[in-house]
Amino acid sequence: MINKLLPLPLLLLLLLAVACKDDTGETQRVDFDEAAMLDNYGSNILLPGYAFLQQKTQDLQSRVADFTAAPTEASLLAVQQAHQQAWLAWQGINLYEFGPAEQLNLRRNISTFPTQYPKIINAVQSGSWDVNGLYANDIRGFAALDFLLYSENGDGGAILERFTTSTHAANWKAFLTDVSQHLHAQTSELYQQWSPTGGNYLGTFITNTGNSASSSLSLLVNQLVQGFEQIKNKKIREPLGLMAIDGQPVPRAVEAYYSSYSLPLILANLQAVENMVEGTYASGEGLGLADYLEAHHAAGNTQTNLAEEIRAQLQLINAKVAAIPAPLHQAVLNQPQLVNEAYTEMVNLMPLIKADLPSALSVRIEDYGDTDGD
Amino acid sequence: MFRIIFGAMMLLATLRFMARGWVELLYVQPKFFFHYWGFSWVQHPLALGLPAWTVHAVYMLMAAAALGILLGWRYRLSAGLFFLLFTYTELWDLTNYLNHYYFTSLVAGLMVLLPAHRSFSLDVRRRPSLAVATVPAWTIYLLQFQLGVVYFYAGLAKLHPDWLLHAQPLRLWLPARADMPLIGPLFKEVWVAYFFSWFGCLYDLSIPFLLRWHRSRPLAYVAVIAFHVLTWLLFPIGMFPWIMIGSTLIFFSARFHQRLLDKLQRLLRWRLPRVPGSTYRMRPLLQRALLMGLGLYVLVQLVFPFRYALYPGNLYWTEQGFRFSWRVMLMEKAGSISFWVEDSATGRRLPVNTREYLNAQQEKMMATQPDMILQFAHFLKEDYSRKGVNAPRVYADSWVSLNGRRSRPYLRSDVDLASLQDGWAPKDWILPFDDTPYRAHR
Repeated sequence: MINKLLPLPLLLLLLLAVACKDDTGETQRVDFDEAAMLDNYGSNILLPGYAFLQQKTQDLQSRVADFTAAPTEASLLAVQQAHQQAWLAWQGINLYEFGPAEQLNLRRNISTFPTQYPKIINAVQSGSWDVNGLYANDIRGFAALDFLLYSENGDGGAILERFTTSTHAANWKAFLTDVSQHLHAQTSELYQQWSPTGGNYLGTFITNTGNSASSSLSLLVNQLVQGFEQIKNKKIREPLGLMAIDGQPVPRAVEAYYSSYSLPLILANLQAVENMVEGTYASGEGLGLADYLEAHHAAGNTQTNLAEEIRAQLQLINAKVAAIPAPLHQAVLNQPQLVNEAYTEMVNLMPLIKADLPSALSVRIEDYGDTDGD
Repeated sequence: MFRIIFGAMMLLATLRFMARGWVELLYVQPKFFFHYWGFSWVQHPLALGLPAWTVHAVYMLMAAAALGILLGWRYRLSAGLFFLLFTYTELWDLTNYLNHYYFTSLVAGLMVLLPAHRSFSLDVRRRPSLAVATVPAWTIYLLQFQLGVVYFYAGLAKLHPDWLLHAQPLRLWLPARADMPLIGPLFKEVWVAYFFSWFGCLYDLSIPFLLRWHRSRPLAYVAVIAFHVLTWLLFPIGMFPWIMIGSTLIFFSARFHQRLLDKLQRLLRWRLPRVPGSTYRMRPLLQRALLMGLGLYVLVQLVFPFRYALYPGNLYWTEQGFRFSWRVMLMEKAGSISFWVEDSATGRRLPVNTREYLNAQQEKMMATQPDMILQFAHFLKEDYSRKGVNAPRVYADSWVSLNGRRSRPYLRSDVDLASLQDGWAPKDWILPFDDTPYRAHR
């Protein structure tokens, strides 16, 4: 009896399948190699990016050693330049806070700002500190170095004095050394964990395909959103004072208050966002999220070309940020409307990367709970 | 037999929920919970000032009740307790609404009324006089009806242009699983999405009837297994496929179930005396009342999912009448929302950091569901007036993307959301769905 009935539904289904093909003329497919994309992010962007950061912090540590051995104007300048280079290298990869970077809690660990300079002054004066401690985020990392190496009013002599003739000069040197060593240790650990000869997270990352919440694709998309929100909220909105009940700008909330280097850092960070979207690495371009979106679009799966729209909006944001006169901590006081315009365009990017992009790539946002898709 | 399967499934589901740490994640950690409309009186233990362990205790008690159902121990008490606790935990947070939780709640409620402990149970062992050999047919039909409704209405919901004509959202979901061994590469083909869409729709619409008819039943059950295993492999839908695979056995004959029970008894080496010829009987008055009540229930089940027709606008867009209607796996919908609070005395506007109050899951679910947005707006109003903002007004900038369409503004951004009340009335503050013809291909 079963045998008799079996062909019937099958035939029906086949007919239907053929019928729908005719209906729409659709014969296309999503022509995209996801594994190759992950390989590009892992092998071309992240591993070299982490190696670069490690090398820059290594360099910084050496320059600090030179400087503390013989503090001169020239050696101070060398440290300052090494610090900026390392900070820029950090902007290139700080969006990707997953895997080892997440375990190291890297954003807070080495990039908490604003730094708590009174805590630093206290530590130096009392002669006791632990920059490696659990609660030392706000006295270490790039922003702490920014305070240690630059004078608020741009007076290089004052900094030199701090490390030569001031009462606690020896402590200042020791503190500076500790902070630069901590920074280098963290980035070295990060690289080690990624390196195929170390923890080989690279291997884990590349083979973690699929679209579950713990998949590499999902990590990328989520960190694109969260990393971009860091720029928008921490680097622009807070200094603008939008979150403050009294509505007053908070100049000291910028990322690089003492060196007045906040805007170049933001631009570098935005460049990293663009690279993350496109899959661009230091010496070329590989498969990225934008290519994946375009493959979906080509198969007729999305209504508009999201990759193009994201690209255009990022360019607009870039132009708006470039229009802010440096330094940022003065711009929020003197020309808040320009900063606000940049902020507004950043807000306008959010639907694209938070709703459209994850939707088109079917990426889940959290690793708990079941769904029935409604 | 259904009792045993249901009990086992529920026990498993509850234990799985606990083992994954979801109790903590979903019901202890969040600072804000969304309530169901009309059920805001249901208080979360934390809101009552009880310590966090009570939340876990509720789940342990629920697992115990499921075990009670499985073993048929103090059945009415176990089933009643399970129904109440399960429904209670579901009501804690609207964020976690799933059709199959609703289904579970309904079946658990029905189970309380059914004499499912009258055979092969600890209750029968305790009081052999409880044992019966047969039960009235309506008890079986009731469960079959409930299952049939789930499938058939899910099938009806798929009769939608997005699903049938555009293969949305499957054409977005399937390529994401192209990493699956063997069949993976096929999922990138657009025609496969069409095939799955049509097959799924046809399956849902026909399976209750194919299961009813004894000739097509074996084949239909093979289809049930194939369909649900496939969905289990493809999508993160947890226990649901297994619950359905287990539950649909109710369509099989009494003889089939008796054979299963006999095998189980042999396996356990525990044989209960059969009481041939004894039939479960209710007091006539009670039975009449119960059947009338159930008749009403059946009517509500049949009509309630159609309430969407009374609302203007696109159902998927406004979600008015979307829940409790067996609409599963129909939409890829994502949103992005940002709130700001305005001081009505000074006119100053403060952006809100949503993640201060909600976890990522809550934020995501809220962003596409107007009633949740409204609740959160009311919460913000209270919170900001505590913070010293004068008579706060709450506005939102919201964008939603639906089934591969470009995201569009969702709610009117010039309406003070905290001044609105949720209810049955159409929500005219939802912007109309801009249904420009869907571009299916270039």
